[in-house]
Amino acid sequence: MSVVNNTGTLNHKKIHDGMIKSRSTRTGDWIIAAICFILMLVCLVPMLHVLASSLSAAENLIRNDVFLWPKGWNIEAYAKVLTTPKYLRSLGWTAVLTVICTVLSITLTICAAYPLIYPNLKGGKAISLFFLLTMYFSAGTIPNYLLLNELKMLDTPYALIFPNCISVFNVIIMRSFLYGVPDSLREAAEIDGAGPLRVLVQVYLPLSLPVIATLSLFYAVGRWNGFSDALMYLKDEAAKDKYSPIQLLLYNVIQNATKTAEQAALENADTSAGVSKTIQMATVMFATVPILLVYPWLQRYFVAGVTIGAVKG
Amino acid sequence: MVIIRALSDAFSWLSAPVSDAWQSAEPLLYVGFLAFLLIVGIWVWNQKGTGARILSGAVFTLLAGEAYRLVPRIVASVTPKSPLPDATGYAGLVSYLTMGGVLLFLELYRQQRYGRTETGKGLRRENLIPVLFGLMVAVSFVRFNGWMDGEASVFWVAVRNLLLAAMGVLEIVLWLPASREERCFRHLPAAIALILVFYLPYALLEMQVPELSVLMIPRTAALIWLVWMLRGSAVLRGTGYSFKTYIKRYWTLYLLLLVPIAFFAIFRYYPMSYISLAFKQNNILMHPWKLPLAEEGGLEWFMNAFKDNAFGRALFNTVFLNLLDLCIGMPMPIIMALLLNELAFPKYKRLTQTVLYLPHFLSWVIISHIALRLFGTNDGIINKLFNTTVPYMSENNHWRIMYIVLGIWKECGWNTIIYLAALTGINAELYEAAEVDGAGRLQKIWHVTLPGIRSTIIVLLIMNLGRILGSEFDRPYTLANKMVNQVSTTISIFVYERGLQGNQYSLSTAVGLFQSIVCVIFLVASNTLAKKFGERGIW
Repeated sequence: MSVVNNTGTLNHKKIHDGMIKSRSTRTGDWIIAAICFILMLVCLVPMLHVLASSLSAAENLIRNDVFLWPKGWNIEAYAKVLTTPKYLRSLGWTAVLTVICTVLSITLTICAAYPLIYPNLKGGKAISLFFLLTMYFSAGTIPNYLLLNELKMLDTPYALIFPNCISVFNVIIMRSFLYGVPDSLREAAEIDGAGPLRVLVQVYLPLSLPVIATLSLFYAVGRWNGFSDALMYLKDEAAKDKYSPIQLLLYNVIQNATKTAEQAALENADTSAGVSKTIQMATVMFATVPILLVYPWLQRYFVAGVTIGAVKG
Repeated sequence: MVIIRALSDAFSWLSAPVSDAWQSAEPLLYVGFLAFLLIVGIWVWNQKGTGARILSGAVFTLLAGEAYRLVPRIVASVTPKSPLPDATGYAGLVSYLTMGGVLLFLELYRQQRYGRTETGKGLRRENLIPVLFGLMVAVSFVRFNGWMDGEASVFWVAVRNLLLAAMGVLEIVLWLPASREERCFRHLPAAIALILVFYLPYALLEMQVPELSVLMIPRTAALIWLVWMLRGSAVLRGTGYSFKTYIKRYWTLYLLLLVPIAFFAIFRYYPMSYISLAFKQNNILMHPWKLPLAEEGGLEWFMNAFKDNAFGRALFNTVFLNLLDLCIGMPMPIIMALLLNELAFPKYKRLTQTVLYLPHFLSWVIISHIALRLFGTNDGIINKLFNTTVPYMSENNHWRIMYIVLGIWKECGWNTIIYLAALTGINAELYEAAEVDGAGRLQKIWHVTLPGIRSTIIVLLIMNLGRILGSEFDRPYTLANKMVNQVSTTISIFVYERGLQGNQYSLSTAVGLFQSIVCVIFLVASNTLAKKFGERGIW
């Protein structure tokens, strides 16, 4: 049933080390290594370009002669983002929102998944089905919008927190992981007189830190990168100013910039367009770097997580 | 007559207008009651104890009868002008027969559990029950019952209810020994008595004192009690500990589940009630249940959508882009996984994987921004490097290709994870055997590796086929621009623009419903197909 065993370590070791090759390295291996190098470049070059642009002078950006190496080195753009209230507030708000959402989501995911691993839980199957059905049939954009309208949640931060706070997919991953913890541990704790809550806190949670880290990453990335809910549920200008996550702000800034750039092109470009471009690039860096700093450390865990999810889902 | 008048006065407060809250809560209560019966019925049916099937028969009879009575009322209470004919007459007949049927099943269950009593000659008491039920059925067909025309003769009403009362009293007497013997049945006669006490006055006097229908509420409560006891009787045999001990030990689990269940009920299931807006007039000031039907018998918005060229184009774009994704985007991770699998240097492999996973963590807003920088027609880096002016992002077919390419760029590395996991499951001996047979690298891939991940590929293919009409929002929305909106508007964007920006809520709900239904159909169909070909499928 679950591909990954109790702690998930065995499997990703296998995944990472691949087939153990007993033969010596051949030319074919070098060719494959070279292809992989090219693939890595394809993934990295766009990000390097953004980094280089954000560190370049505005006029070089306007002249489009920045590719992978910054020209006219300066960190003005970063300083500007950090002193522009609009960007700074949005970044801070997105960070706060991400923390709130992640903590809430992970707590609720554990609450949803843990009881379902009890084989004799009455109604457990019905509850699982209740959760699972929503993966295959959802109400749709407009009904969800109307719900928030009825709950008076539009234009409030709640609209960005609650509607997506539990993902069934992640509940499945969590449940599969908890299934992998040997029953004997639980039974031993129960014989010692521990109730289900105590068993959860003292037996399951310490063992499931890897999966908690993985799912936290998934939820955090989802919220940090999320943009469509803010686009749909924040309608009036005051709410947009206050609660726009960084992605929505970036989207709007870029849309406006393209419009003004079109105008500027008509009226002979000046450097202000270039300045706004470096700022955009710096904002992009701010919006991606937090995640890029975290995910490599969690790689061995999320690989296992994705595998369980795909097998079960 | 005086008594009836007095009764009528006593209950007159009931006909006072009920509050709005009750009006919207009533259907939910009914739905809950019917769902309760359905769940208990199925659950009892699956029990292995004696007579479980008979018991579930009793519950299902009740379910059918109550559903017949309640469903028209649910429909009537949620639609201002109920399209259904007034079914109260039939409902009286059905609930009369339902009561008799339940008592009959109860007797059959008793006989199954305790055997027939041996004493007595000739007509034994327990044989009276089927006879009485036969009489009830016969009497109910007499014209003077007035089921249809409401002109009941007092005599026949009294006769038919006397038959029911006799059956009930007899059943109470028959159950008395069992109720003393087994704990789970100790309240059963009381429950039957309560049901009769609440039901009979209503059945006798419903024509004269309509307000008495309030008695159906305690009657239903007593029915729930009865069904719960029967359910208990099916459990208690065999299992070691009682329901009380179970709850004492595990109530915290239900406490944990409370918030998630509430979340799914409110944010996933409750919005489904808004789907009815697809059949109603375009108005979001009140719940669509209370709105009148749209024109064309409620199908106005579906017809409008299918007549609308813009919708046709959105449908085509969705399917076309998804098909391209399926044909071009799906094989890529497989190829990449094979490549990574062949990579001989473990540390370098780990680094490659880390880098390939990077784009997955970027949002579409950022990717579209970078794409514009790199692929802009006049100021894009790529065009500048090669000194060309290819309209990558602003010409229809170029845009389609870029849509696919960027999708591959973002998710290809990430999607290798699942294939790589499947690859580790392949038995290493197979490779050794192939090597002994003199197979080269490509031959090993073709004959060992690919067959080894075949089932994974099929499962992912099913999931992708199931999503053929599904559409992401972020990806086309952020990549789109004015020049290409003929090919970039997918259904999700159509719904957003028409519904949330254009206030055509009913139309977009209809489109969304169509999309959801087709998605489910595709998923089920492709899963069935996969199972036909001997694959595992996704459920």
